Amino acid sequence: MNSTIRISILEVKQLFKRYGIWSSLFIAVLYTILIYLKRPLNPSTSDLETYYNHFGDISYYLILIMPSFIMSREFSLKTSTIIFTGSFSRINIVLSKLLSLLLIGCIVGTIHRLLANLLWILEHNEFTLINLTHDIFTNLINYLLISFFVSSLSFIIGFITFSQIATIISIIFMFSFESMIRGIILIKLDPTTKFALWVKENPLALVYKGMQYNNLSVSNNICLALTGLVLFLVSLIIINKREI
Amino acid sequence: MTGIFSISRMEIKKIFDTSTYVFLIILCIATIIDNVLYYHMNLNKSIELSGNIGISLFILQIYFIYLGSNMIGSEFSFGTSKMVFSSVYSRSQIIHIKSISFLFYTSLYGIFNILIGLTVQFFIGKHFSSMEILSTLFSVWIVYIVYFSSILSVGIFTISITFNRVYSLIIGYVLYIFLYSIGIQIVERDESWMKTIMENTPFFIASDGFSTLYYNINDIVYLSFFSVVIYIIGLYIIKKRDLK
Repeated sequence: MNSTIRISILEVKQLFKRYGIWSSLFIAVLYTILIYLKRPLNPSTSDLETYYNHFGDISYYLILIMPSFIMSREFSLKTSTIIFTGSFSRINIVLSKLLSLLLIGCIVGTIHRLLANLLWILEHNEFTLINLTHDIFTNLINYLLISFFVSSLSFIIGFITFSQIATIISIIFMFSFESMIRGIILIKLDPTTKFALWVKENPLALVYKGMQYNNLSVSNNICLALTGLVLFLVSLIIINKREI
Repeated sequence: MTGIFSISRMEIKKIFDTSTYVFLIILCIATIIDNVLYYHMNLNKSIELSGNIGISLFILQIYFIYLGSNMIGSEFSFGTSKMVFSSVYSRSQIIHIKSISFLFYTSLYGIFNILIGLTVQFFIGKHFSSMEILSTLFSVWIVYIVYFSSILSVGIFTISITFNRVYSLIIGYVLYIFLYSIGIQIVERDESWMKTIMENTPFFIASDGFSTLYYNINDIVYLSFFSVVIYIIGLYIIKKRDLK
């Protein structure tokens, strides 16, 4: 277990040496600050959630694409043979990748929440530790579960296609397609029906909801955790059965 | 001349790999869903004869971005760039041939779009004059060519800098889909300089026109100029750089 954690920390360190993640985080922070600077002078209502969803516009894509970079990159760079046939078992390797993605999710989630809180504090000049750390724990849980679900989904696609570009396109396509279909279906559907509720709260929609509004309920969290777990187990079965 | 045609034919053959067949199946399903939903909800179509609307048009956008980044990017990813760009033809000639082949291939989707639209209209019981069909066919065909040209030139430009098709794909997605979705919100809500800048961004104009399948003359001239300039810069960089 120690080696798995060591590998995942190493992976995170490697990732943070790249320009990609830094530039994405920089753009997300800059984008949020720009919107903050362009805020109306007399806002109707403002609470600690006011500046939350802006950072999520960009971190949403970061969380979607990151698993493809960490796992499918091995297949694109042809390093998968070395990694998956080394001294560590395949399960260990996949677990370490998952852990590193969860860690990245925690880091991005913390930045997201802290920035939103900080901007509200700056606007209202009410600096307290409670305000600064408002909802940070809930946010971390949301990000952890979202990262877990997205990573498991990406692992499955990555282990089937063995291609980084196919994984990225499939993930982006699935999430975009789902949101468009959801939008069209919900125009005409009675929102109180069970089907409408299912459409609104399917795991892919929950990822968006969690990252944009931070209002996942307990049942939403359980749904993400369970589907993530099932997908993760399926991905483990696939990678154990496939020839690399 | 025969050599150029054979390269061009080979390029089009190369496009038809598994990803194309997967895309075509998804496109067909999305087209059916789109048209059934639009028919049942009595929603207006932008152009009476267009068959690819909403989701299927969005899928085409993602596919075009993939093609734009993959055209030259695949040579660098598969390590065949040295072989391809060191043949009897110059780098510019190779890229010109590839670009023309890809433009021809993607423009076929414009015709496909109208054919589906005609079929749907035929089933509904509407009739159009042949002049009306020809003029719509021409305008939609131009929209497809102008839109793909801009994506292609941006793809060549980003590949010339990164030599990586994944980065090129992500940049294409950010510019043509993500920036556009943010742009819509800015244009609707904002009245400041941000609106002016966004409205005049080539990426916004390109995506906005493609989503409604209409460009005015100014848009066509502006986008063509933009595509040519970016294409030339991309070519220049590729010519000057050492190949990987």
